[in-house]
Amino acid sequence: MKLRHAILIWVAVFGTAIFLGQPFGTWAAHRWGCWKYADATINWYNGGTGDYFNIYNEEAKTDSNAWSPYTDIFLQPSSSGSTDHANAYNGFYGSTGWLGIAELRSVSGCTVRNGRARLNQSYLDNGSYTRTNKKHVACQEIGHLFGLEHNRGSSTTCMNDSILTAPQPNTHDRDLINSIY
Amino acid sequence: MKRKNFLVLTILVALCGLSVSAMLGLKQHHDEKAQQPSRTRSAAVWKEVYKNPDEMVKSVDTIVLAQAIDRQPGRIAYSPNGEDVLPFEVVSFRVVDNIKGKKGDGIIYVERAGGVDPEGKSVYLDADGGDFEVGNSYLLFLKHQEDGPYYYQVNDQGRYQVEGGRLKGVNKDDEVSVTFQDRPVEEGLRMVKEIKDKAGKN
Repeated sequence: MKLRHAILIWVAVFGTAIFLGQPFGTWAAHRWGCWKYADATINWYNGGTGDYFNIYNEEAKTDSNAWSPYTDIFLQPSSSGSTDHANAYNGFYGSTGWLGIAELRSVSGCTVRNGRARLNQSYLDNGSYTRTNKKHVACQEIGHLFGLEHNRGSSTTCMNDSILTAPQPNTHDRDLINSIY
Repeated sequence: MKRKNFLVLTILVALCGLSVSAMLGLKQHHDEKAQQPSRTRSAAVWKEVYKNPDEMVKSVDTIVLAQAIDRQPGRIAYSPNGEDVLPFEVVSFRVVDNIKGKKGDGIIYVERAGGVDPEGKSVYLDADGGDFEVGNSYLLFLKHQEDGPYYYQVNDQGRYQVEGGRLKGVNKDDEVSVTFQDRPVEEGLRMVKEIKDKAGKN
């Protein structure tokens, strides 16, 4: 093959590769803005009641792939607070449309001072949701507080908000968390 | 040039292209993220997440183009241990165009979480698009509360503010919201009506 033809083909291949490679560059697209706690040690208050206390505990700390041992984040058990705190609750919040919600109550620049997760028992306790579903929601709300956005591209992460059957972070979440903190 | 050499070099060129592309994308993403906090400060797992507009139009109880005319503090919800306090507000809308479901006097009431709690602390939940602005118009996809007298916005796919005569969704990247995003209001309403009529025939 003549060199001139080869170069033309290489230029075309290079251009095509750049176009096709764009999705690989967006792997971090599941980060929620620039939100993050000051560092990887976060005061954790589990204000859950009944089995929701267990669910929060499992998702945050005790499951093998819970956020705290699975990623670099260390959740320091604490009383409720508003400084460098992640607080978790459940309640009968009524017909709100949401099963769970994460709220950044206090921020400074990109730094989260006080985050709050809520699980809505009005829906979750109506008989339509399994314990796995509830764990998925709890896992996702905690993940939001740490700075992760929804991820509908994977069925293995609790950050997927279009499914309720993956009650754990996946390796992508772990890598992203560890790159943030 | 020998065929084997050509193929090896072509693969190397392709790998270089992929690497450059991925690095550029990642850098751009990190730059964007590092510059500014997210617009939103809350994120939700919605009960309903629709894959397309047809699903949403069929699922909701009411679809209206309506103007927000008033916001009033509503109920307060507490966690079982009393430690979490969640205030609500009720937003009144004057219906401009009733596309599905709403009947009555032309005023519709939508409850949403947010407001000021009894201790005077502000609770700002914007996963649904945030506070409604009195005077502004919205295309709303609503459901009636199972346990209350009001409507609620079905999720973040269910709100489009009218800005400059065009529809602006909450999450511009969402597969449903992108259908209506930036469309002129009349065109968006026509699309919704067509979807509703099509669903009615099936």
